[in-house]
Amino acid sequence: MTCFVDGETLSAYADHELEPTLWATIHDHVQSCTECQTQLQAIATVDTAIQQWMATILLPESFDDRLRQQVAMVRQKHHLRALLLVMALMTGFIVLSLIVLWLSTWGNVLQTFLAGWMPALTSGSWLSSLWGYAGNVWVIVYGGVFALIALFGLRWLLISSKSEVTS
Amino acid sequence: MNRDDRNLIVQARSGDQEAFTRLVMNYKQYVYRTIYGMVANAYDAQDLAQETFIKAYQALPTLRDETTFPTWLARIAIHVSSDFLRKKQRQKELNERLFHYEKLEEHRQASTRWDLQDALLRLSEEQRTVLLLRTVQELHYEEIAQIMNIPIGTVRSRLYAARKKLHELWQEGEDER
Repeated sequence: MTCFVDGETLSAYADHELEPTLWATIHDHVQSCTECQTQLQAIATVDTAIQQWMATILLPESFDDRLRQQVAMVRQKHHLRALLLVMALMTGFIVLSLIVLWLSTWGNVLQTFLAGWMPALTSGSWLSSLWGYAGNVWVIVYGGVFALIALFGLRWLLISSKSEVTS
Repeated sequence: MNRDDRNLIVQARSGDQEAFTRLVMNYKQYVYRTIYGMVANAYDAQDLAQETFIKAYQALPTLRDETTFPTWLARIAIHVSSDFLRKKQRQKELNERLFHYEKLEEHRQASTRWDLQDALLRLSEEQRTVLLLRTVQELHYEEIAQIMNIPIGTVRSRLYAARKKLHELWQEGEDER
């Protein structure tokens, strides 16, 4: 009997990776073809040898712990990155707010406030600059308002964080 | 792939570390054996298996279809192994080691495991990958084609060539014994 099946097709036949009709045709042929039977036997030998060898290859027990630690580290890094991103965004927001504030009408207040302090930083005469600063009534008024806002803001932050913890 | 695995994937994707650990338990041997067959070194294979799972953990949120998880994981394992072999010029080192084994062949006791490992190393990386994905992971040709980004016809021809060469090497070993 003449064999019409090439090696590639026979290999695919062994893996059941042919169309059903072609598979059935080759299946009929294989029953009476010793050449194909020998080749199929060779394929089975190779596959079985690999599978038997691979069955003896096992990961050590320590792998699970190592991997768990690595995954935990990856998670921590991920959280840290997220935290840094939030902090960077917050810093950016604060800086932007300050710039906007500086450029707005309220910026005059800040400028006046800082103008009172600048001589102290440059000349070193704290007493005279403090006197000049204290003499500026407007600065005291605005400073008081800012201090009140800051106090209320701090109080609000404390209350909100407390409620977050309890919830 | 069963429903439990699918549930585990969904849970792991939403950040459940325990679910991911259980998922690893189910797939670690397949991944390890495939990588071991590629790199032929237990320590390297362990490191690469770990790298594979870490990459899988990080990329899990991008996996849309849970049913593709086994092939997706195999693809990561193959890429990690291939990168390793390429970057470290491991192939060259393996060939040198193979040459060393050949020299020692007559002096050492015949062992099926080492004969087979040597024979596997004589295959090209592509042939070895196809053969391991088929015999170890028992993947279909279509899945192997997707993993390796090659046509199914190429999978067929590579698989046949790998089996043929491996059988010839196997027979050579038998004749020598």
